[in-house]
Amino acid sequence: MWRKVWSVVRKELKDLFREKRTIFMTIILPAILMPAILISMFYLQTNTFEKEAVQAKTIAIQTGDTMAKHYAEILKAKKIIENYIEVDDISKAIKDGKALTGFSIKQSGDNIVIETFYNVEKSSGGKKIQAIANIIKEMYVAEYLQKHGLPPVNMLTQIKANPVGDPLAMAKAMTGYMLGLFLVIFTTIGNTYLGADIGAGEKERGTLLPLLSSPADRKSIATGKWVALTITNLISATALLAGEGFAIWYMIKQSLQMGDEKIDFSMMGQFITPSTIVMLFLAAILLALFGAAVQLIISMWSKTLREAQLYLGQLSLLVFLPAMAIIPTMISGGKLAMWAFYIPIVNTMALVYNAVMGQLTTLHIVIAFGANIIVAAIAIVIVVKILDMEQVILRT
Amino acid sequence: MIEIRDLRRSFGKTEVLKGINLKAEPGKVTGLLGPNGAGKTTTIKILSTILKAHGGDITVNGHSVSKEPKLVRKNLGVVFEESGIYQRLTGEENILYFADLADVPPEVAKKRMYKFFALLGVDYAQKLAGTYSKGMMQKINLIRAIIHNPPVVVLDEPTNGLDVPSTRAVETFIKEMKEEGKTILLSTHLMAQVEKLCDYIYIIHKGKIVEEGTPQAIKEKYGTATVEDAFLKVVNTNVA
Repeated sequence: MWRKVWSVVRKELKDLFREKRTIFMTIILPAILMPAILISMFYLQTNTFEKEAVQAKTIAIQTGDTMAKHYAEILKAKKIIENYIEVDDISKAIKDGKALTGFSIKQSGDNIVIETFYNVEKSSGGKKIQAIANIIKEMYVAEYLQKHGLPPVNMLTQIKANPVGDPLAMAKAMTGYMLGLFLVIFTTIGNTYLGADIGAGEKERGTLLPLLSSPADRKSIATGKWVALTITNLISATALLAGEGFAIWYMIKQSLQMGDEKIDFSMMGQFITPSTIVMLFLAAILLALFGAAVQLIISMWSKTLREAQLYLGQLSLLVFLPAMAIIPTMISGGKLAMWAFYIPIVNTMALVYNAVMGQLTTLHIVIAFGANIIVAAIAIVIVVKILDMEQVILRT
Repeated sequence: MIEIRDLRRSFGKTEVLKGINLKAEPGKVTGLLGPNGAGKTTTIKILSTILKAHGGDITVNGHSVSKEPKLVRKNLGVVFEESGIYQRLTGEENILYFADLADVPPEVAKKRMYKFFALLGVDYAQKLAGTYSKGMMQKINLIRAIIHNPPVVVLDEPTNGLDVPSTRAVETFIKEMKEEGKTILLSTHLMAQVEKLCDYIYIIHKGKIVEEGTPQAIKEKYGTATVEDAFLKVVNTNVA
């Protein structure tokens, strides 16, 4: 049987890869599109942050606000801010992009009121100006105490930070989630054409009847087609992972070169290790096994190539429905329940997530592979039955 | 040898085959003639294990289609009227793929293939099949069906849509196969071809065999000069 299976596999691969669309959809699209998306997102984010960072270094104060100017000078001398500008209207200056934040101080007797200004449309301004307002408050209190012969405030209180947990946990969770999602999306979409062609294409070209009347048994034909599709799915997933790998490597390199507090992708290097990459490939194999089985059933069942492409196109969106159940856990950086490893597609995302989070165990891998191989075996039995069903074979 | 006994088949409530009996012997070309919708293609699809019989049986070299489909397929080469070939493979690759599926060693398959190429005048088999004309494709189709050297060959409209030189080449090829002692069942609409090739003919109409005999005997029975005229008489007699 296996000789015939191999014969079917060789023929299918030769047939599929002589089609230019196949090469484009299977290799070029996932390999080029992924880094293109990730790197352009990276640059978009970096530019936004860089622009905000430049704006954040300059603080706006009201012209004639002597107290604000006094503290702005001190902040500048202590290098807490880089520069300040005096403007007539702080809000307008912020809206015009001259500064990201600003403050004014109004005095009434011994009391002062610090008013902060920041752009709510930007992500980083509010917290920064709040921190500056606290520093001004402390400086004012210190000056006040000194004026009245009392000890300075920093002798009375001290704050020590003790962060608990893995500081990279959220970054890991997001990376694991995104990598799993991309792997599932692009591997399934990229192979829609191939999946459709391998079954419905045979019907449309009129090659199914000669094939089924040849001495080859149905099981060899179905298994051979499944193996061929698994290989193409795997090629697609490998191209995707290579593309993702390049994009991550590029981002890590770029952010290291910047060397400031901007988005720092260099930390990804700490949890995307060679063993993580091996696990990503395992997840890709897992997805390829299951995806090929489903594609083959739908393709064989469909009347025409167009019908199969339509079903498979819609299916690649439907695959996310079960995955929705674990997305909230992944986004919050939580631990996945064991059931996630039993369900195809969900287990691919779960495997990638756990690999990145460093939570993957042998049991997870065994369960996920076991589940998908069982599903694939059932699918082959179904395809063999389909090939014996007259109403399906003769649907054209 | 093909033996069809009381073959019955329905599609929904329509009975398409109403108890067909037929025998095709080695070294002879047996014609299966009938108007459109008579049941010829259904018979061939049951014979090639694609469809199942609802009654009766067919044996191919002693193997039952319903009980031993794998052995039947091993003994059988079929050219379907509407069958295609893989467009992104060359003619050679198409043929060798089917040889492989039939467990024919590559060197044997190649030897056989080149012999058939010479007989049919195929000199284009290294080009991709997507570039072939219908006649070129049909020749590859024919070789693909018999590359495993089956003792029984079924041909459903093998020259349909072919030009004169291609038709002539295929007819010569059928004669060669007959000389080799193969059992050949030929389904065709071309009555001139029937007279030229067939040793015995069955006329099927509305799911029943309505006439059988050698072309000469049928012509004599109906007092006609050609098989075509006899065929029309048979069909018109059985209109009801």
